[in-house]
Amino acid sequence: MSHFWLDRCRTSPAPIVEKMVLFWHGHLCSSMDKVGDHQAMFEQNQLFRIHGLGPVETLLQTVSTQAAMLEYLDNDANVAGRPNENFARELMELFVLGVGFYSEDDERESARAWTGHGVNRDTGQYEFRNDRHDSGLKTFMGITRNWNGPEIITHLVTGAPLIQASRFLAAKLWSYLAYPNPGAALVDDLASEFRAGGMRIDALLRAILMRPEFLSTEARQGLVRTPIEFVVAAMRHTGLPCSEARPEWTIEGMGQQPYYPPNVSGWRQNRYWISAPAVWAKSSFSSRVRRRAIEVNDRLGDTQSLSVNAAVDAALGLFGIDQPSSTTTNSLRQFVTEERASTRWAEQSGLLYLTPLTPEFQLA
Amino acid sequence: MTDSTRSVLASLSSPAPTDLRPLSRRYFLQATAAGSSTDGVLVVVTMAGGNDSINTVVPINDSAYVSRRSGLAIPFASTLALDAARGLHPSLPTVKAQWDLGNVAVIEGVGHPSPDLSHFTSMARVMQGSASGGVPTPGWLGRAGDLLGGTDNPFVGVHFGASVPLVMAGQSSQAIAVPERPSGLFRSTTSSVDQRQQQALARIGGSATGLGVMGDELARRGAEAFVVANDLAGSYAAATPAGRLAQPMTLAARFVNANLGVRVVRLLYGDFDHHAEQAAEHADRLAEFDAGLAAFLAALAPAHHRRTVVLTT
Repeated sequence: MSHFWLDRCRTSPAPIVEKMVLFWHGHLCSSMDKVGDHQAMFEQNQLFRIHGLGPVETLLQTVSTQAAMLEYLDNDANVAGRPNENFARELMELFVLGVGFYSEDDERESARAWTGHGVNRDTGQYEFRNDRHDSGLKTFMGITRNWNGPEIITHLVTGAPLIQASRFLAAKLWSYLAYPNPGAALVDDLASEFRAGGMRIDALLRAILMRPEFLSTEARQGLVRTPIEFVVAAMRHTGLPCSEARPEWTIEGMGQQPYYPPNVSGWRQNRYWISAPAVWAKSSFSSRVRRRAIEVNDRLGDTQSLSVNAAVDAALGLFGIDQPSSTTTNSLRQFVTEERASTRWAEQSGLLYLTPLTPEFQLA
Repeated sequence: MTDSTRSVLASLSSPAPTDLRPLSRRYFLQATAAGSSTDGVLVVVTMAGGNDSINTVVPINDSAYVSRRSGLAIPFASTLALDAARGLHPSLPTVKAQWDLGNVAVIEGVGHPSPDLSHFTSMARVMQGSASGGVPTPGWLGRAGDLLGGTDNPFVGVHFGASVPLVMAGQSSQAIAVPERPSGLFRSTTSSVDQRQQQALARIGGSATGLGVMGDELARRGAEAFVVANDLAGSYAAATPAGRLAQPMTLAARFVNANLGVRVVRLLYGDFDHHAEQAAEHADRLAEFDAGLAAFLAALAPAHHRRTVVLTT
């Protein structure tokens, strides 16, 4: 299942779609660890592909009434008279609004509205059971009526909380694509374009990509590649499929496993990915990739007929590094020079191993 | 990163390294340990699946125990008596010997006040070290690492396994995950090609990259990680005793002996989740634990005995 997704990331004609699948996987989290059902997790992954760039309401409605989310946040155990507030809380706190924009009463009343939305034990599919639904009056965000779960989502993204929802999601997507903690003015601009685009995610995405700040140095240097992005990029540039590169052997050591976000708030960013074990795992992955790259398709080829500088440029170019630092370039040149003075045979494999471990390649 | 590591990296970035021995902080700087040799060390053996505590520390004068446990009750006569009320499972002679020396404490009846019968929830709370649940926070060992190591000690938390578990992930500190057997970077000998590759990365990590804060940090940590691995590799060089827990426990003791600054070591050991053959399986697991403890005590240098606590959960 992870090969399916990572190979798709590698070969997709529209990589942005898979990039958004990864975004939603880390934002509207469910984990195989708790769900324990491959089919449900696969369906959620597909859902992010189908709805990940459309209206945010459709995405939220669909993911909330699908087995993976219902099981991960216990809404399948949320029944009239015995409410479980887990999903109702995270929907507002982590998915749409953020802390401070709703009350505990809202949380409790939303949980009542979500009662009865569960999973059929036989089919493993979403099922609404009226006999488990609390159909009494509920007061949610000041409005008293017989709320039902999906109406809560509609209210959050079209009603009074709309502006906060647009800001919250704009800031989160900007942080994912450019750099963390965007300023308030930038977030407001993006949020208003998001709303003007009918709360369609592609409208928000377009607004982000069109911003001059998106091309700034701060954005180009702002993010460390997640392990999923790292292994996909290495495979794409070397032309190796998962079946050769075997990212599943090392990606856990890098700190990220597809389908297993660590908790409901998802993966953090940047320093979260920088650690000694992550380096060891990337080193091990890179060793595997260089061996298979030479055997399978040898895109770099023998560099020994090239000048030292050209050999290093070829390796950097293979991995798509177009603006290497002089520190990196000089270090790799020194490596090639040393190899040519000693073993020679290790020059090509050394360059294939080292280039993905440079800071340039590990930045998004 | 410590100043000492920084200066190691600085020295490595000089233009023409001629000595190709493995990079090691201790080699370059003659044992500048990150922690003082009097700081306490906690070794946590997490008994995966949940240990049967009442069959580990048996209430030897309790008829309710016998009637409730029936066939699984440990015969009182076979236990290793701690006092008038309690006896250890017969598979734990090393624990008993340590008890007699006054080195063992038993804490019974630990749990959280509102169990909801969800194994998932209970584990989350145990790992979080919080009875309330709620918003995820770093695990209790991650918080310990933050407190003890901050960002300056790459050895503060060590876990045996494929990746750092959530329970050890801190906010400011980072634990490391290491293998139980010498493999990859933890082999004590590295080829000259490997060393030249590591030196290439050390050069990149040894000066500013011009790639911003994250780029510099990736470069610096990237170089440091190989120094850390080489420092640990020495502990893998000598053979370790056989036994499922004896092997990592021996390594744990060597890490402490090496004075690298290790403050928390965690081993996940099991499986204690027995759905059949409980009596025999449990006895085997406890015997392995006992052998692991014996191996740990044998490997731990006497100077470190008073600063080291082994905790099982």
